[in-house]
Amino acid sequence: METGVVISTELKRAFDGVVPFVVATSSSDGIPNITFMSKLFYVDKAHVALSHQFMNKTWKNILDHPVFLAFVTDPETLGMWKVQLQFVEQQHEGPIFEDMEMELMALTTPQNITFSLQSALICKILTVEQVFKVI
Amino acid sequence: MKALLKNDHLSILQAATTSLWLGNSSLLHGPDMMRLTGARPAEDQFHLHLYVPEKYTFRFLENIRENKKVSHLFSCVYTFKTFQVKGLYVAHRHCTPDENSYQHTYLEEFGKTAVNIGINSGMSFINYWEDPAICFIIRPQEIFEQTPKPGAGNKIS
Repeated sequence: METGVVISTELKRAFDGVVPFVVATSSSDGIPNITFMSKLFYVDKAHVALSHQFMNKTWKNILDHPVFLAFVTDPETLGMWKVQLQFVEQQHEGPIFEDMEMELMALTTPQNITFSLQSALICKILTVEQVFKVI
Repeated sequence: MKALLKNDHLSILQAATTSLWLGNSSLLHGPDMMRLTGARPAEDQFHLHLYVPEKYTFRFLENIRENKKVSHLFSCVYTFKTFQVKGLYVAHRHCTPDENSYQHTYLEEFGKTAVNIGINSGMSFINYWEDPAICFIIRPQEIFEQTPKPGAGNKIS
C-alpha cells in the first residue's frame, strides 16, 4: 500500500545510518522521549523498519501511541527530514528481520557495541517534511 | 536543592563534539523535536538554556501551549556517551548577541567534528543557523543514561 510520500535518493541515503537518526515518542501522560537509533531500514515505498534492540521506553511509548517521529540526516548534503511514522507490526523472523540482523552486526562490530535484536518494527510512513536543505 | 546536572554532564553538554536535541509532544500533533544549535547551564545552575533558530520552532511552540513537558538529548559523537534530561519548559525569548555568537562557534566547531568523523559535508552545519534564534529555558527534573548499550534508559538522577 502506498502513502503518496516520495522517498528521494537523498532521503533514502539519510536512512542508512551513517548519521544515526533520532526518534521522538510520547508516553500516555505526554512525556516525550528522544533517543538515537542506528539505522532506518527501507522496506518499500510506504514502509520502513526500526530495529528493536535497546528500546525500553521507546517501545512502551510506541505501544501507547503508535504515531511517532524520526529525524534523519543525509551525510552527503546534510539535508534533514522529519519522518512521521505509524507502527504497524513486529516481526521476529523472516527476511526483513534477518537482513536487519546482518546489517546491524556489520555496523556495530567495529565499534565494539554488543547488541541483541529482539524484533523488526515495521512502520508506515505517514508524512515527510524537509527541515533543512543546503542550497 | 542540588543542581541535577553534574560537572561531567555539563562538560559534555557544552562540548563542540556534542549533538543536541529538544523534543515535546501534544495529543493533537504527536511528538516533535528540533536539532539545537547550542546549550548552556543558566547562571543559577538549576535551568538550561537551549538555543535553536526560530524557523525550526513552529510545531514545538504549538505543542508547548498544550503540554510543558520536554526532553533534551545530548550525545558525544566520538564516544556515544548520551544523556536525556526530562523536565519542564519555563520560558523562551530571542537570543542575545552573546548567545548568537556562542551558537556560531558551536556550529563551526561541530562542523569540524563532523568532518573529522567522515561527514565531508560537516561544515554545512553552519548554514543550519538563521537569525533570529530562540533561547528555550527548561528546568531539568530527571536525567537518564542513554548511551547505546544494555541498560540504556536507566534513570541516574
